[in-house]
Amino acid sequence: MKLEARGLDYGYASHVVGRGADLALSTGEVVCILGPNGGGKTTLFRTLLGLIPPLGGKVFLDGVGLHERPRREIARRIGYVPQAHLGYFPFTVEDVVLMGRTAHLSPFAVPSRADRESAREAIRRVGLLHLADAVYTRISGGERQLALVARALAQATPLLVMDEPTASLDFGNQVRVLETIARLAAEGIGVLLSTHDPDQVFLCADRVAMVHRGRVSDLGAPESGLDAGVLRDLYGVDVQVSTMEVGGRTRRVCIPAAISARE
Amino acid sequence: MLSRRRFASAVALGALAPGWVRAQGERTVTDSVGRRVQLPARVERVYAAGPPASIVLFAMAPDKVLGWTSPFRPDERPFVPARYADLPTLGRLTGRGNTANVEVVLAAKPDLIFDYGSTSPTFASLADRVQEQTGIPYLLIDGAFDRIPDAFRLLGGIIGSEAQGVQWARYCADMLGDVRTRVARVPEAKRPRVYYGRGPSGLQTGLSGSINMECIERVGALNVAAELGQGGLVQVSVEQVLRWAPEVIVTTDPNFFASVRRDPAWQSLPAVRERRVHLAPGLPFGWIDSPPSVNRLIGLHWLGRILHPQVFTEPLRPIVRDFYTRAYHQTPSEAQLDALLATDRT
Amino acid sequence: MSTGRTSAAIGFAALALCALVILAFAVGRFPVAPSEFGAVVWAWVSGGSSDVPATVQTVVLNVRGPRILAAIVVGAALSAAGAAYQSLFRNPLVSPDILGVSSGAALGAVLGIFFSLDVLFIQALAFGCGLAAVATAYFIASRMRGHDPILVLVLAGVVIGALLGAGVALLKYLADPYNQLPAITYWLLGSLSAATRADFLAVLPAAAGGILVLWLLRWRISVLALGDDEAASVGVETGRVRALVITAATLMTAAAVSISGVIGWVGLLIPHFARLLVGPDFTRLLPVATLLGAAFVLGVDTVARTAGRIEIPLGVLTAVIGTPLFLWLLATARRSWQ
Repeated sequence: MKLEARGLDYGYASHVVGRGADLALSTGEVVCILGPNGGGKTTLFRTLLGLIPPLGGKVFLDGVGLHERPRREIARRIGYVPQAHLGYFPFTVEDVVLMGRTAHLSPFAVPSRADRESAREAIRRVGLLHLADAVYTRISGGERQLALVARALAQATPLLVMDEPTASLDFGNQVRVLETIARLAAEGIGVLLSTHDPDQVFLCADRVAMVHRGRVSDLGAPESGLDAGVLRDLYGVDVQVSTMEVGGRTRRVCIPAAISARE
Repeated sequence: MLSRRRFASAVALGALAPGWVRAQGERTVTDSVGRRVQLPARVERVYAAGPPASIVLFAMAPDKVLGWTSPFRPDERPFVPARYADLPTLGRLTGRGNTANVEVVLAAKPDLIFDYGSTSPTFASLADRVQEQTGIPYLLIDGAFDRIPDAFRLLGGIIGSEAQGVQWARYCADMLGDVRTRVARVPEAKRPRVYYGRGPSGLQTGLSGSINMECIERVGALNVAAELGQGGLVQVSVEQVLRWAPEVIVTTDPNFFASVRRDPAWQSLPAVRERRVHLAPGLPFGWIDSPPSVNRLIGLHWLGRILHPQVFTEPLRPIVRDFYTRAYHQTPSEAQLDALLATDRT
Repeated sequence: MSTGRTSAAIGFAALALCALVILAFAVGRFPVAPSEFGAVVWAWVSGGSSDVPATVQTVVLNVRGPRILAAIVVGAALSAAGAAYQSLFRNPLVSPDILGVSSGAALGAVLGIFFSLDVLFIQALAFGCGLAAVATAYFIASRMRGHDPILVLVLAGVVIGALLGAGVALLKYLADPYNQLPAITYWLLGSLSAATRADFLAVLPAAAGGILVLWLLRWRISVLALGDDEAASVGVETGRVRALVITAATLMTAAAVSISGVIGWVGLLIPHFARLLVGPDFTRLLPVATLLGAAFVLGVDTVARTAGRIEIPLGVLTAVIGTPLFLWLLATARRSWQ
């Protein structure tokens, strides 16, 4: 299964956000999109998911144009974890996660017991089982984000697109989400996520792409493609990228150089 | 109070410059609410501010009519001479819910404006308002049914058509008195219980004393809705009418008249079963209800024959012919009379 | 929300409805003894005849019966449409009138009264103009690209509603003040006093059909409450579902308004109560809202025809009863839309 954008111009009728994007996501790999706030990552994702039409170029899902497929088919192949927001109605967490099963239902059906169990399992996997019957609008922002991840898991798709999935999470939950992502990739699911934190890229990404000033640049593997120079271009701050030994493996980390310790 | 101030100023003017006033030919008249209004000596151009006023003026002095408040419908025109039917439409100027453009009214240069109908304080103050705004004398004449003869006499005197005013007053008084006498001969027990259904579903009716029931109540009919009290127009339900079980149903709405005989809910009423449902004629103006003006006099005879045929024995046709000739200044043709008297055919 | 609680809520609503039906048959201006009532119903059911006077039979079968059924259908239709719209527009303060169907129906009926048409034509005009108003709003919204589709739809509906309201006002102004204006005023106040069996049968297909469509789409309507993007990403054809829901809700509302006149508050208030009982999931909300709505309108209509010496307009009574209830709701149950 492969989601591919070729020469994609994306944005809205009133203004173009990005041009000529080439991007690919296959099952079993994690691709990170790195870029500053307001850089257009969300718009890119919405176009990749088929929620808004491309302004130019095309998006292919397994070789077939994305926008020619019916919604239900797309939803069985790509799951979406948006940034958590406040809901309009007091659904329970289980209700929200259960909605992820919609693509597997026939047009007039309601979720079955099997669907409910899938939802519960997904809630358990993100560690939210104790909140399954809590009201979605009453839990914290981080817990809401985890619930949305659970929903995408319940959707059981081979590909996942996540828009800043760690945005409102505390450190512990961030780690848990990243672990989940790594595990999903190991199970063969392809994950495309956006982040603005370079360390996350180093932690879980197989490939990284940069979104900057309307251009998407595929940088390849983070070890080689993401260095201090790139980060300075992207964020305008000085950083140092170093290598560390962690748990018997070499890892790269990124530390801002500009902040000096108080003497 | 405005009227007292006017009185004072009129007296003062009269006292200060009597010669001047009389030389202008001005006179002061009093209307039905006691307002004293200055008028020119000769009144030729009169604007009737509402539909009831138009009808009264047209009956008495058709050549002084400046225009109508709303245009004649095609089915109404044939009953009125063309030269009158073609008079311009000026709209209503009753002080509230006006459809008249005041400038259009002023451009027609009326000598006076008058309205015929309610004399409540609201309308009196509205009359003052319009008079101040336009500078044209505005009179209010009481439109109560029993005082129709007085209204004609007063209006005739005001606009300088005393002879016609007196003639009409006598005609109306005779007719009212005649009807009253005949109805008095009908014993209470023989007066039928009548339901008056208005509107397309026939479920609006008038309470006791409402202006809509004035004609009906004076023909010795017992208004079934009277038990609900005094008041105006109300909405009732079919169930309520079934409980009342009226002996006679009268209506002015042709749609209701047509449907009442088909509707299973109304079928069980004795009035419907015995075909005692009657549609009042309505051309050019309604015979029993609206507009609430002198047009309703003929309805007394029509309804009288329906309810008390034993005291209203002579034929209706000549009375209708005579009334129409007087009120609308055109003798209806035989075909028109046929049509008028046949609205009722069930 | 447990299914146990949902079943209890549905059971409660159904019970309330049955109790009100019995009460509605039992009271009224025309005195009907319980034995007579039983005899008439038995005769009707078994196809035989009874020795009850014809007028009593008429009252039970041709007057109260159709009126009760009409009240149930109107209440059910307005509440179901209101619940669907509140999910669709993701706003608990939305009523079925938001796209202009009531204004359109009002204009149609007022036109019918203005031209002195038969009651049947008045109702047909009301129904047709109600549909046309929403179709126009939908068409206008579909031409506006590049904006949030929900927002433009609501704005188009508001604009159309305002325009049609002006049309109604103009017709009231031009109408004959003695005959037409009272009829127009009474129609606009809302009433079921003239409901006949034919009315009920005319409204039933549209109302039942509409509820059926909403029932079939109930899960997808629930999911739409997430927002267009998320609903699409889990596989809902948002545009198509929205169009179907609007069509169904408009048919139901236009049909209801054509026989009852303009009745407010039902479509806004009843879904709130239902949401208090069973939560926002539309699969549970729809049956509860429908039953509660039917019970509410039936109850209010029964009061309307028995409380005063004259008929109290239904639209007035739903507002008079609905407003304090709504305020109470606002004060005590904030979680309904938090």
